[in-house]
Amino acid sequence: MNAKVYWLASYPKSGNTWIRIFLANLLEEKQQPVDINRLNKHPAFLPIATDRKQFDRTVGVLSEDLSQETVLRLRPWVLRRCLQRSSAQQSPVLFSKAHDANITASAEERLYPPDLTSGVLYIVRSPFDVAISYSHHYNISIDQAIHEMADIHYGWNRSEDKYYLQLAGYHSSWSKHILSWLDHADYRVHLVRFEEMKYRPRETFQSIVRFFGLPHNDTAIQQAIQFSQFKELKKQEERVGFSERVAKKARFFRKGEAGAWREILTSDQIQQIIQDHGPVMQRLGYLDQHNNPIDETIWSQSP
Amino acid sequence: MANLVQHYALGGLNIQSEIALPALQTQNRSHDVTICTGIVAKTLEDIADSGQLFDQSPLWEVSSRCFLLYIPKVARILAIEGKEIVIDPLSGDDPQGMQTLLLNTVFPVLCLQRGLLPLHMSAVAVDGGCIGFTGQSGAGKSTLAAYLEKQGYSVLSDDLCVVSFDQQGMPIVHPWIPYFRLWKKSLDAMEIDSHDRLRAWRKKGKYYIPTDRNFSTQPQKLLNIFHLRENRLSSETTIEQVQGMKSMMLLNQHTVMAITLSGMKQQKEQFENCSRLCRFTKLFHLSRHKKFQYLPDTVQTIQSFLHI
Repeated sequence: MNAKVYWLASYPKSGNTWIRIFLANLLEEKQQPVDINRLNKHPAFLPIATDRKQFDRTVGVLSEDLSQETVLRLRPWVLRRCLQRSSAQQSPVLFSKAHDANITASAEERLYPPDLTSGVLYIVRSPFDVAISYSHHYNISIDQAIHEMADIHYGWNRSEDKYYLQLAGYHSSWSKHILSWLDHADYRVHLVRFEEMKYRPRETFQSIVRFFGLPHNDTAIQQAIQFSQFKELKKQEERVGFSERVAKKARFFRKGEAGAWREILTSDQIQQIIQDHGPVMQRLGYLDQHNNPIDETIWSQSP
Repeated sequence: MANLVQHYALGGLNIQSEIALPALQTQNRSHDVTICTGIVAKTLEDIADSGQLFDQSPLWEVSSRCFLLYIPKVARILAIEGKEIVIDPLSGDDPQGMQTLLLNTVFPVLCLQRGLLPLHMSAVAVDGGCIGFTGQSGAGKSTLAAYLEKQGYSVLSDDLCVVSFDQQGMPIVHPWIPYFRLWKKSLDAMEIDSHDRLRAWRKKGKYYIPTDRNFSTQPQKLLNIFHLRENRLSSETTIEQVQGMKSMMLLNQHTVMAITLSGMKQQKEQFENCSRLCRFTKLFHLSRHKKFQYLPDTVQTIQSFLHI
């Protein structure tokens, strides 16, 4: 029987790395924080779903010699093949980061096949804060970030003019991305909000650990939460850098705040985001029934 | 495509081809391999004497005798026992696509069928032999080779090397095609004009640049291999020798189309080839920042390390 994967799925800049750092600290069980540049060394972590090296090694034919349509169609096969051959015995659970929307790879198969999926941890963050973080990460204007977040056809690494370490990504818009994962009946999904991780960490991370079926030793969880606190990550990045940083100047671990948008976004930008994503924001509790942004401190209260 | 028979040299093999392969060097010796066009069946099971099918993917099938590649809308290509390649051009009008698939995928499998070792490696001639640079796509093999060519070194290959072994077991690298394939970013950084250059297949931003001024047409002993690693956190270049089984693993990782070895029942030959190579060739990890501004320092580090 094939090993199966827990997808750590999110729209970009929503807290996926935070989750991986928490899990790495929980699994490593060391007395000091895990090196942020060695996150994927634990056998539980598979390469990101769009890892080009894994694709090329598994298929043999170089991905750059194939059309994007063919690469997309092959990605589920690559996953299946890797899981068949993986040393699943080394880890009882397997995790992989996924930034794509949950789309079909072909008429026959989903990009993230349900039969290879143990479950989906879906991480969401207020699009107001995502827009700011996104603009810093990719060194683009906030308006450009808002525009890309609204584009249902958007995805990374699609240009044929340059080389990318990763394969083409298929993110769609912020709203469509969320709905593609939450509303698909074939997956067991656990939804967490960045704001809940920030304001109610103990309860939120415990729910994550239970969802994965990992031992939920409260002391170990508390330690992992502490070791993955933003100030620790920022300190590490300042000391040794972070290899997953993209833009030339921006830090990856910049502020890690919820609600910072109130001092940064213009009223036009706020209205644009509400216009683009209002229904999903309401559904997730980021807007009230009158489309007014909620106060972030609400996430400190248990549901 | 021309139907005239042409003769080429590639990776130490002499090729007689019905189709034009403009990237290759011509030669006039008797051939080791033939390339022709023809109808190729959809599956190896439909081909008589193709051998037992051992492995397959959505793009290829492999048996002990044959390798069948299928790229939608481009071609179906069959490699038989290291001696013959048959091309069925599906779209009928993509010679560049077919040449690319031949060079990057099918010919390396044919080399494996012949018991040779095709590596993702660029190679540059130095005193007494050559040095190779391995790495995944995008690691900087071609850029490094192009930069060394500009410094006056002769290049055997920018991306793929066929390695054979002489009677003493010494690994020998054979010349590949006399072109660099470089992204525009690298061309601009090295002030090489991309205007009017042939673009790489499927990649508008990648170009073929001829090396013919400094292309080494002679096979060379493989003295050292540097495995390129990116260090995004430091501008320093470091070199660290690779020891023991890690050398074997590295060579296997960088063998082109290694995924077909089990299907071809060539694992033993592969193991023996890698062992022989490790006996004569030193392997190193070369960690450096990939930004072009640090390339001169990287090259200087290599030159000091090897006294070249």
